[in-house]
Amino acid sequence: MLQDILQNIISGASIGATYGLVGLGVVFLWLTISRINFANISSAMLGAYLFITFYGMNLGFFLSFVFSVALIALYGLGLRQFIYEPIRKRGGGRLEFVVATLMLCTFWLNLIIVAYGALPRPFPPVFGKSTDFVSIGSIKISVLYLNIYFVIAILMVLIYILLNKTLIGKSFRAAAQNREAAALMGINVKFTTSLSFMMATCVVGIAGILLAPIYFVSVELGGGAIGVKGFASAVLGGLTNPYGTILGGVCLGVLENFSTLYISSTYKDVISFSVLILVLIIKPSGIFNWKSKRV
Amino acid sequence: MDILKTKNMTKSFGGVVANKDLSLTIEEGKITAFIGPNGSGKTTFINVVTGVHPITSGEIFFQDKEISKYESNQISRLGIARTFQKIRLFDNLSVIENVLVARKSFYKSGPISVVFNTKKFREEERQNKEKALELLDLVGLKDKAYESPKGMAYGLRRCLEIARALALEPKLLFLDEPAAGMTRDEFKVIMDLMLVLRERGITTVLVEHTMDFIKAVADWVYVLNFGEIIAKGPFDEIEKDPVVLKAYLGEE
Amino acid sequence: MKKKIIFGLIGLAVIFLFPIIDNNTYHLYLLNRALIHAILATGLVFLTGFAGQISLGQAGFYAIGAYSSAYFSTRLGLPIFLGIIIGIGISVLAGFLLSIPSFKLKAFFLSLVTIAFGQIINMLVVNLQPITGGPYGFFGIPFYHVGDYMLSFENVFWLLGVILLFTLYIMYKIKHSHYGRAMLAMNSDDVATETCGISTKKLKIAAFGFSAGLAGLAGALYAHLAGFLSPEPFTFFESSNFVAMAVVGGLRDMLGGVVGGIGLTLLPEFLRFGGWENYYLMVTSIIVIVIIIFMPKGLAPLLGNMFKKIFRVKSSNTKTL
Repeated sequence: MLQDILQNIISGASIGATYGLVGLGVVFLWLTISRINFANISSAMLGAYLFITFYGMNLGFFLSFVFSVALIALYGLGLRQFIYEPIRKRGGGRLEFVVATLMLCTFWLNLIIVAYGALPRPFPPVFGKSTDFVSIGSIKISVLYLNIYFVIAILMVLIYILLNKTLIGKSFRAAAQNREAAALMGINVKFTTSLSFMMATCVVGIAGILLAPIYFVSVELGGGAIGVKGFASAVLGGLTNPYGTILGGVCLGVLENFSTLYISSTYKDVISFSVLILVLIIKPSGIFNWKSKRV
Repeated sequence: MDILKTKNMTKSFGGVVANKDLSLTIEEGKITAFIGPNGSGKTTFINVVTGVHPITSGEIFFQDKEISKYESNQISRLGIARTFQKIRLFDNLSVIENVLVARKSFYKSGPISVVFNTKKFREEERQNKEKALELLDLVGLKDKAYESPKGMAYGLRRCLEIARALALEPKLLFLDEPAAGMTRDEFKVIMDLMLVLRERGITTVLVEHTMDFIKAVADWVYVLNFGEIIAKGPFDEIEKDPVVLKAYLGEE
Repeated sequence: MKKKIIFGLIGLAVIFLFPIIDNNTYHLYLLNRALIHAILATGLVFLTGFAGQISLGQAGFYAIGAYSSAYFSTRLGLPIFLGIIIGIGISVLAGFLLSIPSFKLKAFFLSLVTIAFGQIINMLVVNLQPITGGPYGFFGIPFYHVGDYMLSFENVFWLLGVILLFTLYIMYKIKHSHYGRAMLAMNSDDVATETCGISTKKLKIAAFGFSAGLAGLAGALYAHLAGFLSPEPFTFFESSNFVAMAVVGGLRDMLGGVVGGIGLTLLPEFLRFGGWENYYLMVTSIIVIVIIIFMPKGLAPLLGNMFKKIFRVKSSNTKTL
């Protein structure tokens, strides 16, 4: 019984941490431009499809990973250049960006369906098979989840260094507070915006590659359900706290796993929607949004 | 007769106390001014009394009725109107429509009468438009009634905001720095307007930095510093008060 | 403003005659759906363009209207007319409920709540099988009829047209009354609106209720037109399409919902039968993005100006003659 619970916590937390990564995509943009990209989740789907495409060309794990993430970063840059900036320049408001990104979400879904077909594809076992287990004491953990943990841990360290030990974090904070003031302080707002777009799409793209072994490589990766879980994680972190967002995602994943275990799997997705609504109504500033000294 | 009375009114934002235990009265029919250095809690006082910010503790009475827990719109309908330090007009509406917005609580027609365009509704619409034009005439904006307030001169925008506040037919009017950023002529218009309002029996509370202005119109002055009243009285007395001078010089 | 309305009416009169020229059943079915979408998008123009609130969960109300009317008219045997009224009623109640978060939340936060609302309704549609039929669908919904007389697609087209016109009339009257002014004021500055003695809470409740009611009406009208319901038309993607209709048509324009609703219903079909059958949804989304970027005010004001120009040319011609 205890083992069941522990195992559920471990697997739930690893899926949840990937939701947190999706949420980070929201947070990075919110920090710098105070906009939400509703096509945030499309990057996850694109990441997964790019990865299997490169992997199918026998490039191996590492190269496929690097190439797909690089392309996703380029896409982030394009997003800024061809969607965000033109709307801003022509006096479009926030709603215009919302609708444009919503349409973008539809666009990518249909592009993938046209290019790859609507049927889900298996993901190569680069993270190990979900049936391979490692035993720690009496608990068996799937290798898959362990590897996901590994990747996320590396990513978190990287993000920590980027935000806290380099100028990037500082310019993010400055741009978040006041664009004009940041520009006056000599911070290159354009560069910061580009960077936040690239970081946002990259982190979600990586999340897509991590989620693919669990969800298969399917259009579901670019659909509303996982997207909303990302939003829910971000909202738990108050849209501004990256670590709170990951923690929020982890809690969401664990909660979801337990509800599947004890209630019913049909209403699994309702959990994240309810969490989202409740947090927004009760404490819109976020639950895991402690006042961090940095960011 | 006191039209407004506060008892230990306190407002804090997080840990910062903007108004501390304010207990004061505003006399009916007079012009009362609030002065004090920046950040002394003058605007916060207006915001709390008009319900824009909820009160932290204490009580506010308007004509002996407690209004501390009322919503902003309820307070406005009781007859407390205001303008804002940074002018807040509805730029998507025309000048006359801006004034008409504040007339909404005087309409009795429901949505059904509106949709069927009943005689009652048409009559109401006519009366309120008349009233709005009258107010625009008072502030000198009648000929611009159907223009957009967007891009109008600063002084005119301020006058329109005052006309909108007057459309509520207020008993008590708060003006938050009405003369700020105005030219000498525009300034004079507002000053004359305030004297007209006093004649009409409207109580005015004024937050202002321009001392000439206060000297000319205010019957009573409160001096705030760090959220507390440090002096009160007619302007002539306040002017010489060493505590006040220190507060102002201390800021320099 | 009045001129624009007159032109809209002339345009609609031309459209009204359409079924006589083209009585292809599929075309008529599409046009009927376009009118239904126009009704729904008009509600969104009211909610977003006038009252300044946002809803990305409009498909939820659409579903509530559709399934309620279907349930009451099919399972309980009530007349279609009553089914539609009940559908609107339940939708309006749900709209009141969804207005509560808007008291505190703005823009993005509100849009997230509305997305969650739409998703929850969609999940209920899928999972409440005894009532909705779930993924297997809801069959046998009666088509429009008066007594024993079955309406034709042409009749339905005229019926929907009248309903749409009536909706526009109501919206026009509301916009040019104390209610409409208050809503536009709230859209611009809600703190200042409150200090004008207006309860923004009540206005938000009313705006959400009205737009939810129109979405519910559209849903109910769709249910009886299609005769069959499945969860597909009630997803998040439909909600975002609805918002796209309102934005593409023009949020500040009375006819924005009509232009956007009809345009974005027919455009994918033109593309589909114009040799783009595999790519039509992709192309549609690209076109929408381009319109949003280059014409942030929407198509309706543009069309209005075009009509005005044509009219001016004509009147000057008659003068010279």
